[in-house]
Amino acid sequence: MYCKGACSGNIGCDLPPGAQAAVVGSSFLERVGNPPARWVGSPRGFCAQVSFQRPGSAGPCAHSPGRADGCPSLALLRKTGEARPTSWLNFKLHWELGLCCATMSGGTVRSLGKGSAPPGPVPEGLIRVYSMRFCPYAKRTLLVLRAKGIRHEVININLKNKPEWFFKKNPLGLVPVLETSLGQLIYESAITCEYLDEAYPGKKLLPGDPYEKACQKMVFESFSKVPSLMVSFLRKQNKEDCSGLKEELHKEFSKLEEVLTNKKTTFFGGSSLSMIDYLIWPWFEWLEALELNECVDHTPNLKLWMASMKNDPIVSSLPTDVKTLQGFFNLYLQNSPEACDYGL
Amino acid sequence: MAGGDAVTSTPCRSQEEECSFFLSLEVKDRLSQKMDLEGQLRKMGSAPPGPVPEGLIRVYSMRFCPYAKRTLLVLRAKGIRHEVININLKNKPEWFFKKNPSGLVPVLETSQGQLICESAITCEYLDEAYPEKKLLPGDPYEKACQKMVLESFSKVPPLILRILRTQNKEDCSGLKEELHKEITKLEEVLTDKKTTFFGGNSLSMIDYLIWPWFERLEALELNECVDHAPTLKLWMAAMKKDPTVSSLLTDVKTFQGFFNLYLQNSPEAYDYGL
Repeated sequence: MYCKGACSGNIGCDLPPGAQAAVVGSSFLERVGNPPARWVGSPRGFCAQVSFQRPGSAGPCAHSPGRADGCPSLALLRKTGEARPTSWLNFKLHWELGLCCATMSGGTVRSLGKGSAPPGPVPEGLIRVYSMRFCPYAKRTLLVLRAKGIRHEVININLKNKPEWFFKKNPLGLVPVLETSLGQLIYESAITCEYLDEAYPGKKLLPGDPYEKACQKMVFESFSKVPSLMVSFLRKQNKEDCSGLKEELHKEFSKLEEVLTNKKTTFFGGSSLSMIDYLIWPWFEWLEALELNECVDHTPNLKLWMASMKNDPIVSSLPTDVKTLQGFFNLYLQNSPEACDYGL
Repeated sequence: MAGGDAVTSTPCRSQEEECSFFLSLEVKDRLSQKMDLEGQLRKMGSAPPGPVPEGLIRVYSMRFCPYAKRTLLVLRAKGIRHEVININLKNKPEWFFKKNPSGLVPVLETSQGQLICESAITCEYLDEAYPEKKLLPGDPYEKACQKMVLESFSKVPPLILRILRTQNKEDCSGLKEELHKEITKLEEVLTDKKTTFFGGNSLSMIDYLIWPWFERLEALELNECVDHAPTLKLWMAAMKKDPTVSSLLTDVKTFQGFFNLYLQNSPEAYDYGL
């Protein structure tokens, strides 16, 4: 199944533009295994604009060739008044109609844990990313993949119950990891992002000028204390006084505010969004869920930047729901193996 | 001697006296060393330097800083005309914080007044801005591999610093164990690649980036930590033979003299050997 890329990407579908679903046809049900006891469709659901044919071919899905207005499942959905499949039964109905685009993108795929079979090689024309739905580091890679329109597939890893085979992909056992169809493995989020920018054509996210590129890296460096501060904050919540941590976070944000004030631009790389913005964004997404919005109260340019980021089509195609994130945090702090699949 | 020699703020020595320190170096190296010599050790109260002359790039450095050594190695390897200004890191000039708010070396300054900080960023900048003799591979995957090696090296510098600072040598065994573990990771990279250097059969960026800490092993009496890493030992020997590396090699005694003063927090540490 392929996304036809018919929408502008704003529809909030879990299937990335141009991405191929990891399985095709009847094997989908085998791959997914038993349906979850409660199928809770993600708020975004699935775009009905998919094709069972090869990418680039004309027409909607195979069951209704020649229909210009898309998959009949959309008609069914309209009929039932539902915007998206919201239950397993509903989904199965659509599936039996052979119409539903079963997205295997990061949004709804259950993570693989200990005892799971290792995935096969990466199909040609695709790059694979090992990820986790709530990992901010992996989010960087997903943002870049989308921003550059790179065809990819996502395999989520249960970080609280890692499959043994995953350590062959990255001895550190961390996400994100990129795997090419040649079996090349690249890990460390910033390295994966730079690799994607260099290896794939199209819009360059990093500037060509060596000095401008160095400036982006220096901003990245000055951001480097934020992730560990936020994790410390997450871990300390409700246990100890967090005002010290908030102070430190506030200090780090002031540094970033200075960058924006000096540059006099909306984004960290200039007047349009570029690599550095994507690299630091995922932690700003956490602010609301951690009730840390006050930390940007004294940094107006940073606040404006956050608003501009939320308006970006790529960023908004990968939103993180506050409640879902909080649910994840809750389970994560309890070291629950269910944490990584929260909300599915 | 390490690149970037310095004079103190008290009476300057004559150029001849400075040159006498370099009798052992080859003549062609002495010319570039003279450029390094002209770097004054700047400390609190010293006048800020003027703009960087066109055709030159300036590096703010310190003779014994391993991070700054990375930048000096790259400048030499690529044959980039540069001048060195050494900073007294225990007594920093106020103006230096305008060059780098964090007050750390190395910092690059171009003739247009552009400032670049963080050693790895300076090295990558130089490789991109000066196209001759590329040190980083062009292939995105090969370049990513070099960066992954740098990442797996990243625990070594803080470990070595901690070992240096641990006065009580008995307590070092735990740290030495950790260092040994990190070094084993690097040994694995070389044995998997089956090449002499970390980027292939010739020396490249990653080798220069990690070398300065290996340079210090002997002075810190840590040679044992590479005993179980024969391929890494061979790499170290090959590195010492490289013209760029050997032209900037610091001898054991000088290192030890510096370490001694450094641990006493002496502001004279940075001029040791002059």
